[in-house]
Amino acid sequence: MGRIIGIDLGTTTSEIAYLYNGKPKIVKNTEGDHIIPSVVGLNENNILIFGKHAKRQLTLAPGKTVQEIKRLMGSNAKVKMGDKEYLPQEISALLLKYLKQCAEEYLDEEVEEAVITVPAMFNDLQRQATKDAAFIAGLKVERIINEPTAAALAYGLNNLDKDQKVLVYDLGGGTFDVSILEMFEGIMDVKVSRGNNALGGKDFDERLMNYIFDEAYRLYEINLKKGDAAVLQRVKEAAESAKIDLSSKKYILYRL
Amino acid sequence: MFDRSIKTLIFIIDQIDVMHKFALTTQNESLATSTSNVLKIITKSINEIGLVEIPSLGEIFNEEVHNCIKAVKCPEKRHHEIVEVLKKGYRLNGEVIRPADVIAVE
Repeated sequence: MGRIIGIDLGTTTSEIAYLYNGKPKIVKNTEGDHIIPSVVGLNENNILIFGKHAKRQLTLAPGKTVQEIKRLMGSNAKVKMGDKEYLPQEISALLLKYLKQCAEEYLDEEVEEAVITVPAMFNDLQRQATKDAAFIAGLKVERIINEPTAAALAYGLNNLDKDQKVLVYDLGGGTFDVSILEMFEGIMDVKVSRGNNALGGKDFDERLMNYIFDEAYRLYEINLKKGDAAVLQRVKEAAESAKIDLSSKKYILYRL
Repeated sequence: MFDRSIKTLIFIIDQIDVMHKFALTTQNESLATSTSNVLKIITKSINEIGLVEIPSLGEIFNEEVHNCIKAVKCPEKRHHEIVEVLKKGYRLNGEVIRPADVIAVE
């Protein structure tokens, strides 16, 4: 029997982990990345591409690239990629198959089973669509786990002695979920989970970009918003870097 | 540490690139020639340590080495031809360490 992997199939990015000496270890793809954009595409030669490679052509070939498929899971929406139409679980399956392949290359062994996380708010249809996607990808779903439960497990909260309630914040790239977990006698139960499907790290980037635009105008009367693509890209990168740095620092200095 | 040094080196070259692009917009020919010469010297030096710029301008977009920031309409150019390089991409000893940020034809 192959090894079981854990997959965080996110709206904007996905991650794979496995247990190594009883502790979770993150799998890296062949490019050395452990955070893989949840993007699928067809390149110029109609060959399937995934992750950062697919993301790079999103602006250039939007008709041949699909992102944020998780938002459509459980629906019958048809998604066009190139000349063909796909169901959301079929696109998700392509992504899962790629993640399976990444894990197999990293671990140098066959992977047949997976534990996949889904938002606590996912209904039965959405959960079933996720299972279907895994099946198409050649993965047996060992278990579907709620994302906040997985986060709590990762922090070892299941090992606490006391029965208590825990608040889990899951701030992703494009979504934000807050859940209350109740723990009693070693069991973790999601009591309530609410979220905003249109709030995530990307919005922080946008706010910081607007702050830079406003300050540049206020201090120097320069309208960076009207700058060319190179200017906008520099501001975007600065905003994203600032967001990351400000997670651990009080102040940062950026030169554009 | 090595990775960080390479990243810092690329960051410095980026700044000189910006300076060169600005020099080209001025009417000052000697300034443009100077910055161009500085870049030539830098290119030769980085090549010697295995750091090589990824060819981009005039090439057809390739997601392995290019990152499209903007797509434009340009009937006289080829499909997916790169018409502007916003930030150069680099390979280190053959491995892509940064794709080039580009503008390409739809």
